Amino acid sequence: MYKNRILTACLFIMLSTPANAVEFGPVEVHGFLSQGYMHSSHYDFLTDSNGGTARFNEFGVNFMYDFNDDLRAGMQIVSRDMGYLEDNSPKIDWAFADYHYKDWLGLRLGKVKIPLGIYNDVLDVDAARSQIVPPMSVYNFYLRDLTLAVIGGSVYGNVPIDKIGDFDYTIYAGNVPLEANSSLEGMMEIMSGSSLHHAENDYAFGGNIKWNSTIGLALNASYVKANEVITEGNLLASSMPYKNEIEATATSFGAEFVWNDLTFLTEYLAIDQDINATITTPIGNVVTDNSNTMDGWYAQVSYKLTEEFEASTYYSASYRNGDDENGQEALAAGTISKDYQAWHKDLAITGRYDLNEDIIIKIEGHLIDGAALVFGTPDKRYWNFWAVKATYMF
Amino acid sequence: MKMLRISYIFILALGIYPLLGLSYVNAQELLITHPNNSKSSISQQDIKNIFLGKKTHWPNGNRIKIVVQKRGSAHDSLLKNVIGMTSVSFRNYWRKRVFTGSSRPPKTFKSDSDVVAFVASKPGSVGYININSDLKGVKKLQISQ
Repeated sequence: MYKNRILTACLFIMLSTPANAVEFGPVEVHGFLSQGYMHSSHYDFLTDSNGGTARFNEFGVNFMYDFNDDLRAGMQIVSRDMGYLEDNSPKIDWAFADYHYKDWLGLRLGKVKIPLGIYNDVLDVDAARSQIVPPMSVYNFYLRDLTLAVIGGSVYGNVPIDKIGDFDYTIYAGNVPLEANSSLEGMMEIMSGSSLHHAENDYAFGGNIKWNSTIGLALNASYVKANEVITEGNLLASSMPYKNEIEATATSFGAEFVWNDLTFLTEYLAIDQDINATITTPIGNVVTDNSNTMDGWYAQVSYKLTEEFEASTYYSASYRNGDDENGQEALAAGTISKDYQAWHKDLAITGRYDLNEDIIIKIEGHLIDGAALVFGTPDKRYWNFWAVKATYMF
Repeated sequence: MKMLRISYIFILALGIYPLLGLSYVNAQELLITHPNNSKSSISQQDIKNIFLGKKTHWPNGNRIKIVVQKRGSAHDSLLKNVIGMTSVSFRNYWRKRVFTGSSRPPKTFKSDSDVVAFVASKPGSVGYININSDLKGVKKLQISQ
């Protein structure tokens, strides 16, 4: 009921005031609404896409209020339906007070976004992405709840350096709010064949620095460390309870180069995990310690055919364990049943058309090699999916 | 393998950089500011950073208030020659800032006269108009190299 009231209120605001931001006195309101359709040739991927599904939408509304020139506050609520991962439950995407003291120094307190890679902070905003499904090697929707935001604070700024451009930096710390009913649940099912009843994080911290040159080249580096990520649930095969205590570190490097109507983009992400797992069996607890590195990279080229139409292609490769890319060790250990569960390689062609100032239409096709990120029993190495999506925003 | 990939990204990026060199193009539209603004010229990089919301304070500490036009030749000229973006990419850039909470979008007007009226009434503001427009109540801001 609560969820429906919020959705109805926000939809009313959106549809009754097209084209521009809504202003309630000093409070400015913006929003977006996306509806998509995804069809997979074989597996359920992200949503129940095998055979096609419309459970693929995003909706968000934000509010901003300026107390004075330097101090303001805002909040964005996002609701998303992505089949197995999200069910249209409204969540606070970000909510913070922002004191922008100087260009080179600002402070945000509240729920602040994690800048991991060049586009992580806009991953929930369809209008800000070129693709419907971005490269999963770096922008993994299954890890969204782990990499979305921290409740704490951040220090940020922009530092110009004469002739060579400027640097954007962000340093942040806080608690990553985790819950069982989230994308993490899908991740646990895929990666470790287990359900998720409880998830929490002690604290996380990190930083991001981006050099914006004067010639269209940008370099980005990110780091985040999450201490004490705890997940609890049951193994799906045996119903035995488990508890994982995870220390995770993510590093990302990327480069983007914009040259006239062409944009070249490449990024790399590695997530190092130390996992202490306790499984409660009928004969006592079994405790294991293991470490692995999930990693991946992608390269993308985009071209603006007209001002409104942009075509892109990317190749993305992600691995469950970067030290075992061909999956032979995992196969021998019995943690996967097919070697192609060790990777997810995606060759994508995408198109984005800005119909007008308020509406964007996207269409794309993906050829996939691997079954690292799909639901269900792995029985096919090569498969494909396509998707279309329309977004309205104000 | 990890180090190889990181090296690949940076070698590729840095290899491109020295081949291009820096280039500046004179903007053809007219930049305007409030008459009380002590600055009468500004670098191209600074004006780009102002309209991208990265530079938000004048040297005296006052907040910069930017004004943009919805469309038109002055708008297209500024975006092409100074910002290095198209109208659509500029709009999407600001959408990104708005939906990540980075900042409010700039005030947007449909005509030169509306921009002039706003800039004339708000100290710290900066906008752009067609080169032959009336400058009543505002001051021209020159782009320096």
